[in-house]
Amino acid sequence: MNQKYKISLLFSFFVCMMLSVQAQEEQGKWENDVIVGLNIGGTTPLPLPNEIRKVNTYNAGLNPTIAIRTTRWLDNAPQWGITTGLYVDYRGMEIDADVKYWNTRLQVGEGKNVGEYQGLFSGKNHTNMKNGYFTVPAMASYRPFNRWTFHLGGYVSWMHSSKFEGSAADGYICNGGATGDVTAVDKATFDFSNELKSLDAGIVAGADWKFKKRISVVGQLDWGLVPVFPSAFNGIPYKMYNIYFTLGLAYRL
Amino acid sequence: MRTKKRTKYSLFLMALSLSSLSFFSCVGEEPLNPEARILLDNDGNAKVTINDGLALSKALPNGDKILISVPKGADVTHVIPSIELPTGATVTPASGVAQDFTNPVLYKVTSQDGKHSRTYQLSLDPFILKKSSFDLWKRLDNNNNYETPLDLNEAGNEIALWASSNKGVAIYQPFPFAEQYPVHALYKSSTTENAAVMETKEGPGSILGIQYIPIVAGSLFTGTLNVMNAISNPLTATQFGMPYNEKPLFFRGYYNYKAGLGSYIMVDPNNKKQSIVVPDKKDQCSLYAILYKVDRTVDAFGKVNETVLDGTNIQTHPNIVARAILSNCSSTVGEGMTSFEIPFVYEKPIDLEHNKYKLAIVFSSSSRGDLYEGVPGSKLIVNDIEVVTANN
Repeated sequence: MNQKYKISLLFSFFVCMMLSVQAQEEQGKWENDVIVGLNIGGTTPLPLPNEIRKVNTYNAGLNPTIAIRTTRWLDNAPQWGITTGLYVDYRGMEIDADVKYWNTRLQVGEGKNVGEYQGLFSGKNHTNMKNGYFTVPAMASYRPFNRWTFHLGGYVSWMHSSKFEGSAADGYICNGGATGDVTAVDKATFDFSNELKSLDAGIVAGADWKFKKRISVVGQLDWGLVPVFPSAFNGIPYKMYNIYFTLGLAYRL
Repeated sequence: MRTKKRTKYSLFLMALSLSSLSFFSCVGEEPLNPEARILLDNDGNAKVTINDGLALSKALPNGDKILISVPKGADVTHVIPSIELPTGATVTPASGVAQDFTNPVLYKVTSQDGKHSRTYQLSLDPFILKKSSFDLWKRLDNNNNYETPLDLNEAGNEIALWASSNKGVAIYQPFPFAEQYPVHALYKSSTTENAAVMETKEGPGSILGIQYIPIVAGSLFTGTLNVMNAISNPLTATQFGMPYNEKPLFFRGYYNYKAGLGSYIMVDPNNKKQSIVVPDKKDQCSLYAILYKVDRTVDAFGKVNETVLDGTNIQTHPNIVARAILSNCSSTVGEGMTSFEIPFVYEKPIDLEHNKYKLAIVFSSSSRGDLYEGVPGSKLIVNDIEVVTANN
């Protein structure tokens, strides 16, 4: 699927949503918001493995979310509702960390002579990633007070674009593993952009605080439960998950 | 009441946003060191030293075998080696304890985390290469699947004098079978009569942005291969030569060479991330022996430096004393082996009494293979080589 096709598909989806939103509004039990925000977080192993010795720099980058969200408030329990929507969100970060004895298995070269560089790396790891997703949440919503709404549920995301690249530098690698002889690594680059899983799913928790008649501050935590790389992938020695917090504004339609 | 609530929830919101960042700060315990090996210096020599004055060479590693050259007839029954290890690792028998080196001594290194171990064989031996039949091939460590030819000393102990381009290849292309490497035995099943085969192969291309390797030549040489800078600066990885204390007169043996029939491939000089084809260029082999003088200096920090020739200067270094070079190393006629006998041409006088020397014997299926140039399929077979010395 090329980028243009994806965008036009997305646009038509939005238009459909808007139209249905307009149609539903008269009924009063429906609430529709347009959300814009920024994602801050990391694609990370949890807990942080011992191989990561120190995080030198972290940059959340500019990772926007734009979403349309719909809540249907229940007839017989008016404080409770069900929320879904369509989010276009980017999850990314740029991180520089000191690692020690980092077990990696990297594909080198291309074509029929492709090789594999395996070993324990100690040195600096730099990772720069930015993955774009279409996300659909399904949440239970609770409004105990007029200004406050809380959401809890799950989400499913489909990746539409990916970047996961970086370098290993200023260190050494024990070739083949712990008993291998050492090769100095000034700077080696890697690109795992095509290794990522296209599907992500997890839990989502959020809160809205309404401070103007139609405008709310929205905070939402997306906690991925599916590792971003398939289990057969050996470039990184541990499972990594998308854990991102969205801070944004919602406009009530 | 309302203000209080708002504060409370604002705090909740803040906590929520911070929770996504908090895990970056909780770095865990320092892991125990998993590395089990004997440390190497920057030149690729093992950090093993013995009683001063006894060693004629540094500790030369080849897989799990480490060789220190000693004078013929030296008393090696009570030698105290000092061995340097990674942080926390231990070695048995311990470093600094006297051993009898009449036969090689096994040293087992165990990592700090206790999960890994590697056993080395340390030989103190006066062996110099006079003949090599390339009949005995073995894997020299458990990390790698390639094989290396070994020679036997008078007592029948294995001596590892030969190193090959296999060690470099194994870093980024660890083939499962010995015969898939560029240097291998002619007959994989035979251990009684064999020969050395070197083949030029296609390389994988880009090695993680460090180096572009379109071609890998099979090269076999006396010396060690230092993997420290093997990928970033491969010409310095080939540390040519083994200690030699006789005057070589002739270099002879048998070979067969067939230059590859395909395209001559080299790294594009204008863009080192791609290769180009040189039309109508034929591949050549390398087959030569070079004797050079080893200067030993001690720097201000007490570090001992010894002359060692590598890929950057094996043909040009001022310490070269004598050469025996097969001048036209092109395809031989027929499938059989062709004999060669090349006299050593002396450029400088040799003084075995006062100086130390090393002899480098070098074979390669592509003469410019060290620059990742050649024709895939070029194949050099070498057998039953001999260095005739003045002592014979």
